[in-house]
Amino acid sequence: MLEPHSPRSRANVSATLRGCVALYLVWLGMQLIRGAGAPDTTMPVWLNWVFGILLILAALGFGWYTLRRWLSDKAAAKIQEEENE
Amino acid sequence: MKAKALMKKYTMVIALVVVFILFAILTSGRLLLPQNLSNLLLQNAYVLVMACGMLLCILTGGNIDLSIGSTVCLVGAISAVLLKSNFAGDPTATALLVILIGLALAILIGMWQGFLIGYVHIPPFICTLAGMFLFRGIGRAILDSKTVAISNRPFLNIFGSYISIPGLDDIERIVELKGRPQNQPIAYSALIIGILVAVFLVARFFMSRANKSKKGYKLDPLVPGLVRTLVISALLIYYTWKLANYKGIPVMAIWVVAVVLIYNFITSKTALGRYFYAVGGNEKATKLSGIDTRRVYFLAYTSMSMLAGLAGMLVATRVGSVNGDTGNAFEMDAIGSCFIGGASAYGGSGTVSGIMVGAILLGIINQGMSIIGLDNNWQYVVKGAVLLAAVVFDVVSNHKKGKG
Repeated sequence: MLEPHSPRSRANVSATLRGCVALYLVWLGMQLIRGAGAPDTTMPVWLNWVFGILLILAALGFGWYTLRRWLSDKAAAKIQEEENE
Repeated sequence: MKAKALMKKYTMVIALVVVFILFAILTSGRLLLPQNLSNLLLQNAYVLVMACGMLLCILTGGNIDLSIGSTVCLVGAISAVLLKSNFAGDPTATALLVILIGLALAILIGMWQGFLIGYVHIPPFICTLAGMFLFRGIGRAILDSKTVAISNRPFLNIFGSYISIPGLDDIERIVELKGRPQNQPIAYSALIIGILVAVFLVARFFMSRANKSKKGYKLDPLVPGLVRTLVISALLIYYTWKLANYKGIPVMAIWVVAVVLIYNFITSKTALGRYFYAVGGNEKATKLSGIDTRRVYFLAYTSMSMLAGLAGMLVATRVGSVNGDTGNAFEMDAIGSCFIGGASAYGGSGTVSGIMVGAILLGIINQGMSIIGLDNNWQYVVKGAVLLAAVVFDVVSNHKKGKG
């Protein structure tokens, strides 16, 4: 049986968490853009858009990083498993 | 242990302490009021419960459940409508039956999704995404697009009351409130429970060391472990003293602690818990080892939905009503807790204690922002900034290790 926290398990878990966080950041960004001009907010409309777009861009960047990390972690895990065999 | 290594190991705990102190200052100490500390637990009970279930799904190889918010809505809707109908004729009987029906329904939902994912091999993302729309639609149909209030007293007491022992929790003392002396009941049972648990933690620390020493194992240095245990014990006594000053220990806390302890035990001390890690590591090798991987997926999603159902009842009790938007974005809170709690220097290790730290951190931020009176837009910005900080930390720490 595999040990807990094996390299491949950690790669998948990390990639999933990172991917979900990227999606959450996109969601937050969209909520900010949708909330621009709401009557109960003290945030100026332009600032809503700035924060919203910044969050979405950060999410896209982090999503790209997540994909690259996952591919490299998977390759490293495969090499490690082959070495252990 | 060197200071740098210590900071690395306890990064998220340190972040939690820093954020707590920051919001205590920003709210002019109002965060430390007994009522707010009690509400901190009550408002985040559902996140703590659901994050435990989400952990099992994530451990099976990075899978998630997007339908938990909708399951909360559906179970909450059915519970609210049945409670209102008082179908058993007696409020207490109705409450107990509704709890059983709600949990049974949640388990059936989980079994349905677990079957599709584990045995039919539908990708979890697709299956739970469909569930997200389906269950919320059914929930809204049951509610007839209305808000249904919950007034069944036994149901509200089972989840929303406070531990009260006659003779112990009704002793009043005179305190000065708003410049005038007033009688205030102190729930001493909360303080006594806090002290007992603190004593148990310290005793367990020494017994564990004695046991290891007897078996000839190498022991960690005494001072860091003892200091950690004493700090946790002191914080626990402080927190229960605060709870004692506001109605005592909420029953909701008992539910949360029970779920956390059970899932911590399962993931760290049982063979079944290891199966979840094993499937996430290498499904093929796990299958060849003789473990039924389909059953592991099935159990992960069944347990997740069951906890979502429980969270639905906790939320319904807390809010006092259910509507079609109940449970909106709950899956985001659970996933955010898992990431923040697991985004330590060792990178997404996935433990119950880690996600507890993440959930409490998000809870303190939410509570602090509510007390300050920030509107929704500013709250989104703060949440985004916290997540980005965790993201930057994750990227930088892994860059230093030579990865990515």
